[in-house]
Amino acid sequence: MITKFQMRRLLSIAAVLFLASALLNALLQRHMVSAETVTRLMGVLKGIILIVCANEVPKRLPPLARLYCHPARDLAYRRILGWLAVAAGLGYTLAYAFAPLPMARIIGICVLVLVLVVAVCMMSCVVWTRYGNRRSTS
Amino acid sequence: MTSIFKALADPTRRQVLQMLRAGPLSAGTLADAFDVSKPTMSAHFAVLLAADLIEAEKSGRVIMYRLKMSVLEEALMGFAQAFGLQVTPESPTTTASRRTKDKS
Repeated sequence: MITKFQMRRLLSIAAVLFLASALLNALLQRHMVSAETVTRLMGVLKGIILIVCANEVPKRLPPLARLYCHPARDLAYRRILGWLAVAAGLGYTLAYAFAPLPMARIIGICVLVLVLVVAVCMMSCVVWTRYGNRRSTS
Repeated sequence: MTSIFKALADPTRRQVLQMLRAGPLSAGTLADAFDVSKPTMSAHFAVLLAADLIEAEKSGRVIMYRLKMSVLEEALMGFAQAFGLQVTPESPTTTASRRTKDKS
């Protein structure tokens, strides 16, 4: 369920992205910044947004996992995912800020895929535990 | 943010958060782990709840406390633990005794 707070946050993130891209596009058309700078700034902005969102993961993630596994394990998964996502956001931001652009793109995709793979592994682990428990009880 | 710093300033509250890292615990279990009175412990829980660092769930007569910290808050706690952060010298005990004095 999306709360009012989450909706407001999502809308403000969308507004920030829209305004930043409009501003950078206007600057680019007036030849005040280079295309590389625009790509880098947008990358850094996306990384910062990822950090801000990932920071809230352990706190705001709906407690659905509690239905499927032990609360302690649920908490551990949330914490690992939160820390990993923040680290990925940090990596994404730093890559776009300092690495050469072609490499920054690769690093960006790699860190996002890594977080996604870990999240999917954790979910499968939770579902597998649940399935195993149900089979052992029946 | 002030409420978070206030909550993390006290070593007992930090220890409660450390214990909750392992998983949800009942109020009684947490209170037994410290050498403080039950009302003082309740005051500590109230501060942590106000800072939104833990959440309480009542099941029957038992209150279960669960950790509810963001990554930044956890990092702040680690920082406070490492460097012995003491933002406010006030603990719930001193505040409570001051309130009693004010009343009398």
